[in-house]
Amino acid sequence: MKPGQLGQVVRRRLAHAVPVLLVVALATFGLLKLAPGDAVDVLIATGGGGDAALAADLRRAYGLDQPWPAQLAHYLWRLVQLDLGYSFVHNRPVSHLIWERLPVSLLLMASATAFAVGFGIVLGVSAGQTPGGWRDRLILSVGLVLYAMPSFWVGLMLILIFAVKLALFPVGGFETAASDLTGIARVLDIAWHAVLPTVALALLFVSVYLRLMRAGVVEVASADFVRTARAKGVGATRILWAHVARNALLPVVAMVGVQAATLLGGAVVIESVFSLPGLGRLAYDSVLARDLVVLLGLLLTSAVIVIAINTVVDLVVAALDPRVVAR
Amino acid sequence: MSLLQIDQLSVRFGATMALDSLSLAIAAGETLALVGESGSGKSTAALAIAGLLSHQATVTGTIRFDGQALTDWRGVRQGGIAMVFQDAMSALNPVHRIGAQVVEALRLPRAEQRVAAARFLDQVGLPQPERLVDAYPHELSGGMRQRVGIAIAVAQNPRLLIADEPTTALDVTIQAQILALLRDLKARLGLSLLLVTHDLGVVAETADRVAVLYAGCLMELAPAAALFTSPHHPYTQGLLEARPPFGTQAPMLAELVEIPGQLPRLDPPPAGCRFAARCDRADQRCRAEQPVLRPIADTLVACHHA
Amino acid sequence: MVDQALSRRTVLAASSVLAAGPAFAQAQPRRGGTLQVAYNTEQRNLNAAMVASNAVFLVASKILEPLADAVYGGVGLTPKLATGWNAASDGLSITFELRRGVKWHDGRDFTSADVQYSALEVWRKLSNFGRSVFRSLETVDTPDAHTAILRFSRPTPAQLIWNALPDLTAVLPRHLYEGTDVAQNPRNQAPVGTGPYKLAENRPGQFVTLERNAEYWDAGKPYLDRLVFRVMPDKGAISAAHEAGQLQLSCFSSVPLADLKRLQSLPALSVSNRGYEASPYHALIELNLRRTELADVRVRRAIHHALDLPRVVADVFDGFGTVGTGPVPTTSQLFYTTDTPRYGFDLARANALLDEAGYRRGAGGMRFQLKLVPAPWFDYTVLLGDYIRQALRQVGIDCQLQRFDAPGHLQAVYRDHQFDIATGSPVFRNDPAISTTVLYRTGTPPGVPWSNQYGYASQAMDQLIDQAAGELDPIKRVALYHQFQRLAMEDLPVIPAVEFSFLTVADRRLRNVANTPRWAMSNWADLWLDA
Ligand SMILES: Nc1ncnc2c1ncn2[C@@H]1O[C@H](COP(=O)(O)OP(=O)(O)OP(=O)(O)O)[C@@H](O)[C@H]1O
Ligand code: SF4
Ligand SMILES: [Mg+2]
Repeated sequence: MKPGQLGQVVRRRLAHAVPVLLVVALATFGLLKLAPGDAVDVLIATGGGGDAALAADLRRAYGLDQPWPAQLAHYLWRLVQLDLGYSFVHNRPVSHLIWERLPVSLLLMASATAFAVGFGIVLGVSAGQTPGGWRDRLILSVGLVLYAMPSFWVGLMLILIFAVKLALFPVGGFETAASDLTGIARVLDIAWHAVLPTVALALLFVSVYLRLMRAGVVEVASADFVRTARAKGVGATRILWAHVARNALLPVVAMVGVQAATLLGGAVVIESVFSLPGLGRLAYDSVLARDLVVLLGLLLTSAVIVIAINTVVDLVVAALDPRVVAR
Repeated sequence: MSLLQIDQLSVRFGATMALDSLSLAIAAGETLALVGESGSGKSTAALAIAGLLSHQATVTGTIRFDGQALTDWRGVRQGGIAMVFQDAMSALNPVHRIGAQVVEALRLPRAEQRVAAARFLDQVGLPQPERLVDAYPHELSGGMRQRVGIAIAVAQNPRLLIADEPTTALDVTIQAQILALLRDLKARLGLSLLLVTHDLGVVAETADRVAVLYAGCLMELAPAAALFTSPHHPYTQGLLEARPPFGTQAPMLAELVEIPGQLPRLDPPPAGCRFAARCDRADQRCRAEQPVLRPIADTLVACHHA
Repeated sequence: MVDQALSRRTVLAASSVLAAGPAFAQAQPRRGGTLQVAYNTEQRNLNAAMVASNAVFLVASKILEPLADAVYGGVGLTPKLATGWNAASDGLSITFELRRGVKWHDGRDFTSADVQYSALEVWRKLSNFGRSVFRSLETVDTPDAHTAILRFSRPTPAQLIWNALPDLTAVLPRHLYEGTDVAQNPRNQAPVGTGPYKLAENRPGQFVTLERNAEYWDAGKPYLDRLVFRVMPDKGAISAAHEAGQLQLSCFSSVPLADLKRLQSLPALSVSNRGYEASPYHALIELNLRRTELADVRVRRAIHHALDLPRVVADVFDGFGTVGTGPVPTTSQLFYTTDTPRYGFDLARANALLDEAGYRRGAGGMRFQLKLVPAPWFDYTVLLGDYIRQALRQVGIDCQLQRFDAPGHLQAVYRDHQFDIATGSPVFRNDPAISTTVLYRTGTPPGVPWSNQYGYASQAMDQLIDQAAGELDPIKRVALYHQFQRLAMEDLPVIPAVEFSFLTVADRRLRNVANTPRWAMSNWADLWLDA
């Protein structure tokens, strides 16, 4: 990829992003307006109850007494000004809420993707090396099991085994609460907390990537250039990794972009099970609280994350595959 | 003494008898052309010699190279035999740079790799080799890619170069250039050449001797000149009759064969002469008894009635 | 009570520990230590003066103090920010003597001005329940820094105010709230109070850390250095953390019912339902009287007869509950009466009543169909829905289950009235006037949760409720509430099926756990961790 192409890739993605974001905003708004109940009902109920006047006061304060087209217009107008709005449920600007939770989700997504891609590649190569062999069959069956297991269950099992029985990892949390750790000690503490949620979130994707990788390895292994490499006397290990795996990797990397949205979805569950203060949990709580502004903000953020991941994937693919040029 | 000596080489893919008891020799500096229609076992023979057969293949017989028996059917013929393939696009790894692919197996220090690669590219007549070193296969034309394929082979410093239909995928003008390059390299480096081809024109221009394969069996082995002037085997005769007037574009042999019928199934092969179903001279004996090679003048022919 | 069975087990377990080691030998409270507490439902607003709810109190009650809190025995109250109180006989004023030498966590003095501000601007105007209890509060006089006199425009029963003290009188620092929009004040996320612990850090989504307040007015307390409330939305994770020893305390039944047996069997943990007596819940069955069938009291009674409530207590509530007998729970020593109509499990009687009401069994043995909407609040309210469906089939009532998430349920049941039978879970807050009579009185507009949304309208009931609300004589007031309970069970618009409270899972080294009737919502000044 040539230097100028980076800007081009990003610009093209952004041009696609604007209509996508608008559709996301409209669809979310519509869906939430269709869902029964509103933020005030929940606020009063979770506050232990209250009278009708209180509800009316709150509804007026939140603008929920306005007709919905007015609410929508108001929201879109603020959005144009890059203002995600203010959550009355949290009493804070939506952007603060999201900003505060973003690093947790990004860390979880990045580590889970790295884990899933890493293990997917190793297992996929190892299975695809001898298609139909015992190792292939074993890995494929394990992959199928991983694919079928619900991730909250995997999460709880990991907790039971590695946190409760073996006491190797913490049960949950982003870092040790009130530990006063700083610097490298804090980073290690966060990493230690991230191990189980990363694995729990990644396992499903391990199976996705390993199957893709395996199929790629089997296919590429019979490619002419592999025969060329054999003919010129390249060693088996180097053929496997530098030729076969290197080429089979391309669809796997492309798949990371496709899976970005699923990954975000999976994070919702994992963040709950592991008490992680990420975007997914904020979304879950916001649905239950019918906190429309936060949800809209989150969905827009998610759309931006997915678009950003796909842009990065584009760039990585372009870097890995010289045939791909930025259009 | 021959550089390469093949004895009773048979290759099966399961029940398919792809190559049946092939025996032939190639002398140092000689060019042997291997011809036959599609599926006759040419590539199988070439790959067996190069040690590139897949794991599905069962191999019997012996191959001696420079007097040494090759025992490993899937081992690299280090420093002796190199191979150039038909489709130069797919024969190069799309994600590696040209230079790296040329010198990949040479175990050179990093610093010397570029220079060495450029030297090999230069040897096969590619322009601006220093720049090509950094190019990727998709940036090159078909002819240039085939030259790279040849450079990869040459980089192994071989004594026998196997070229499996090296020009089939190319334009006619480029075909001529590549053949010229092969002839040139052969002369310069003193190579032996095993040229697998469909193109009898190419054979006439390039080969010293010709081996005609049909359904896995060697049917006729003759000096090139003798084959064209006096073919003995009914199959060879059919091929030559079907050949377009010299100098016109030579299409693929498979398409131009006007001998009615097609290759017999090889799983298992029919008893008797493999060609019997399509041969107008075929009789009872042909269908029952497989003919063995016998000398007629300076030619070997496998036919009861030649 | 089931509690006794449990505590007997607890005592047995404890005594075996006693035999093994000197667990009881150390009666002297130990200073120091950090307590990790589960924080299952994170709250955005920790302003306990504004929002009276369990989850808010769990954290905020350690920081913000009420005028008085609940205790077992005696008058049931213990002084906190007020040291004495006295009601005028005309019901128009109440005088509070305030504690001297109390400082806010930021160093300012606590004075009557703080009480004045909190009462007038927060309890009366913003508090979800305070708005009705303090409705007629007119002014608060502050003759000196340690006296506050609440003056009412209409006679207000002192009994009601006493009962409201623990839940509804958290005092806010005037100097940090005055002149601001209270609902938006950033101190709601980082409260400054007078309590034994002060806020150290509130990291949303992760934890709230409280630190020992060395300046606390009750010298020597608290004993613990730190409380860490860890936000853990998943109950399974909480029980795992208990098991792994990474959590010492969880209140309000924050572990899955399915894990209880296992946790109870662990020697390091104690599981108990003590400490919630001041805020007992009812698993309520709400009958929509807008349905002709349910408008007939015989049908409602038949439904009650069809329920085998002791079995529900045993199976659905795992024994942690009591069969309900009326709108006031058995734990309210002041207001509870046993003298109410009962409708024991009796299928024959249920069938007879339904026949009598004119609903004969039709095709498939069914009389009519009802839409059953179980509330999503607790496992219990959901499971109870399943049980009702089974039970009513036996008497020929076919229930169609319809489930919603929390906002959906609120809308369907309390706003749109799209239900025939719903389950619910109101809390009894010390006095029927606070959150119980509203379940029976007419006049609440649609949309208010935990109010009369099932169309029950009885003049007699309305009069009774209003009369009790204005009755100044405590004895007469109690008598009126006994009448209220009888009428409620006579008319039976809702079936108070099971009384239940919560469970606390605690590390056995913790001392002074569950020693007050609203313990999880108390200030934990005397809580300590044994070595
Ligand atoms: N890997 C394999 N597995 C099974 N059968 C094979 C395999 N490779 C070759 N064959 C079979 O062996 C026979 C000879 O094939 P081969 O490729 O050697 O023919 P060819 O003369 O090179 O033909 P073409 O002109 O099309 O290249 C054919 O029948 C073919 O189907
Ligand atoms: S052996 Fe018979 S069939 Fe075979 S080529 Fe000769 S004549 Fe034809
Ligand atoms: Mg071939």
